[in-house]
Amino acid sequence: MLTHLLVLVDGSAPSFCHYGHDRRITELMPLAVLERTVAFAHDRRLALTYVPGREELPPEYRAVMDNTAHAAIVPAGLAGRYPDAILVVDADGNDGSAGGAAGERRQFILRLPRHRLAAMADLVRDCLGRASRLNVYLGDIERYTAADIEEYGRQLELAAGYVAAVYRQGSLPEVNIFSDRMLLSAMNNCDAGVVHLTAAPDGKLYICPGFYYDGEQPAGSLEDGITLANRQLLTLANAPICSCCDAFHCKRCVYLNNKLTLEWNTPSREQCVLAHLERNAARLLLDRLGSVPPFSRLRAIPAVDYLDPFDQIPTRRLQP
Amino acid sequence: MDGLEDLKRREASWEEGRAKNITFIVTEDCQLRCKYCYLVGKNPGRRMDFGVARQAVDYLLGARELFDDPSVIWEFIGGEPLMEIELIDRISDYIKLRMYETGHPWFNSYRFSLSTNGLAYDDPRVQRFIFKNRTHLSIGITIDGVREKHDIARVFADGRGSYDAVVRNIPLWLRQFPDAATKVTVAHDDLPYVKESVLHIWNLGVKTVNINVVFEDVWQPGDDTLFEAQLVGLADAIVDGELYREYDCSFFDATIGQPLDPADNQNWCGSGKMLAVGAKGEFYPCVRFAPHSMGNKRPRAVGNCADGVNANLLRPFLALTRLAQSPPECAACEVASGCAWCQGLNYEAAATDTIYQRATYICLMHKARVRANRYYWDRLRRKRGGNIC
Amino acid sequence: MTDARRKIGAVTPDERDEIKVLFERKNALGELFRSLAGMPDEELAQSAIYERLVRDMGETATRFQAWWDEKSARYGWENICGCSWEIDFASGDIYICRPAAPCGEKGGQP
Ligand code: SF4
Ligand code: SF4
Ligand code: SF4
Repeated sequence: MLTHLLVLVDGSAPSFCHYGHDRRITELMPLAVLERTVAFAHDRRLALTYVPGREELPPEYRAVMDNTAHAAIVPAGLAGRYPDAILVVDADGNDGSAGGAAGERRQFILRLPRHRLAAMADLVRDCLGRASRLNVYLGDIERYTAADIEEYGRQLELAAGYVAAVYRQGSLPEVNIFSDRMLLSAMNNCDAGVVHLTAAPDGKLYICPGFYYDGEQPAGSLEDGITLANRQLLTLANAPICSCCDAFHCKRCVYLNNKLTLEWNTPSREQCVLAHLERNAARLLLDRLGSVPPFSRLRAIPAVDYLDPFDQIPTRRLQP
Repeated sequence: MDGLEDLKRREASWEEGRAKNITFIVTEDCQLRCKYCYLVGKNPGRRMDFGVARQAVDYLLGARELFDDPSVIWEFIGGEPLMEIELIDRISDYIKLRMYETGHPWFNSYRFSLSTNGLAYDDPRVQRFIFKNRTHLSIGITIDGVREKHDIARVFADGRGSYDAVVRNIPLWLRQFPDAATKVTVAHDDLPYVKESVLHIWNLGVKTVNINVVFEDVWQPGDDTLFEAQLVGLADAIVDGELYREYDCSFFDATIGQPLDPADNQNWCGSGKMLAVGAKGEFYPCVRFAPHSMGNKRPRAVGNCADGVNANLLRPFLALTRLAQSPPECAACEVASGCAWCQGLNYEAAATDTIYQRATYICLMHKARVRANRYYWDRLRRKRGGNIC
Repeated sequence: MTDARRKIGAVTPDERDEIKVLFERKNALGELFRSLAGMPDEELAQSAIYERLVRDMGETATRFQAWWDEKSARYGWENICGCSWEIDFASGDIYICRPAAPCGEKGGQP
């Protein structure tokens, strides 16, 4: 069921997820569109999450936004101006050192483009001390090579060491790539298009911001509501590979699916392998934390001998 | 028992389930303009260049880890493939030579196959090709039945029917391929001729008739009743004349019309498990996804002979299940078994660019076929005084 | 013998596979030979292919015959002058056939 609406208040806002774009010039959603978006969400009882850009918003925008309960995802440099927002750390260093006030723990998103992959573990370590929760999202997965995937495995191992040390000290920030799989016992994915939609500056609705930036068909508009056909294909029930998978924490990113396999419900090999490297790293970390509470109470993650669940389905071969 | 034997005979195609099917789209041109043909973009310009075919063969024989099936069927398709018989001959020679030179296991287990409209069957170049590949070749000629039915749909560009031009080649074809089968397609206009057409083809000496109704959105109210009546009439003729002893018509199949268990979740269509090579060396999951088959959607290539197969683009095809693409009414259908679909048409008819939305235009026609099958098997059982299946 | 074709024995699946490969190979070599005759030189990278092919045809024919000799001796199949044996590749059953019967293309004894 649709419960959330993301609002791209500024089209140049840095990516907070797997999608990417190269828009640098401020592209504000017209105020009237913002007002209609808020009304649209209100009428349908959708929770609002705003995504502003690096530029400070005009006061009339803030007035509209602050009029209703909402969450926000903002560049970490704007931490002071959005006290409760989730902070996006741009791994290129623009906002790396920024964060909340001293001693304050905030939710962080670390978005890692491919060329910064080798810095991942260090960046995770830097965020850990000030995060109540850290989400790491890889960019450019569509261009990942076998060497990148190997590097990611190495970085996960290093990062797991830092996370283990923090957990042993009694601090328990959640880190999506490790703790989500430990805590979950069923699929918990992005669910773009099912649970949330994105309102873009053009007044149209999209499955997620990535679909807007890539010029894909809108999923509807503020006037007509959701017009997206075949929405069932965004659900887990209609995703044959994911339905047989236990990488419960995986984003199951329909944006990447669409880009790499041309189908919303079919993940690429890259996505599955990366998610399984995380799954396996979480498994080893949980083993390692063995007797440390609360980890001692968590169910062990079983070992599996594959990295791509596709290899487990009988029809995978070119010919049965 | 004959009933089971019939089924077994029909199912036993060469190396079924063990052979990789590789199709070369040698030309997009055809002498005919069949009314039900899915090849909307027939085009005299696009023919395969031998260099492209050679590159494709080299790639396919080299990528043994991907193509590790014990056997292979090399198929040539069009448009009308025999319009390019010299090219086909040259490609086949090259395939044989390269399989032998590289010590490929397929050298010991291959077939060539082509389906033709039959117009050029007696051309000396075609005959030479048959002679050279006698023990490895299967050729199907499409006859649509009685002249009236055949000539409704299978027409030349100027509107003339092609019946006479095809039928004159049937005796030669049957001498060379006594077990040959023909493929018949039934659309709205030819419904009144179904019964007599099947009987007519058997009369011509072709004992196996593989027949299906088109999947497209062409069916009109009342078509299912007419179809059922035709099949019931055919059933009577088969049972009364004991034709079941010698002849096969794929409309009658004892396994259809049952509810399907959710665990029985296989895709129907073989697209993606086979590979079609386009005129420019692109790879398609089936010829139906090539540019000349597509009306309103982008073609869906899954690689090309220079870069090889793109495994990500192939994944959706290989992951297809019955339930992931079926609407709820099909999932709950009481007569679902044997109700077919074509991935290419599904893609073309889908509301979004997906292969995961099943088109169900044939729903009422399948149900009519199921009713006629019940009638047929019941009559047969009573005639033989036993249990058929 | 009244029937054109009569079952006289059977072989194991492994034995059946062995003769099936030899049968297919024998045909494939014969049909490659026909193709080479009309093929342009640039497709025949090395003319040594002819020699290899002729040698292979001889060897395959010998192995093919040896299979029938060895199996018929081992299983004691009935042998009638003027008739030949035939195998059904689907079942592995062995038949004896009168020459008039269209035994042809089923891997029969030469
Ligand atoms: S589909 Fe979801 S996970 Fe993927 S980029 Fe969009 S929001 Fe992120
Ligand atoms: S790992 Fe692959 S199969 Fe599993 S949930 Fe993620 S995308 Fe789906
Ligand atoms: S199309 Fe109709 S007959 Fe076929 S499975 Fe669906 S509901 Fe049943």
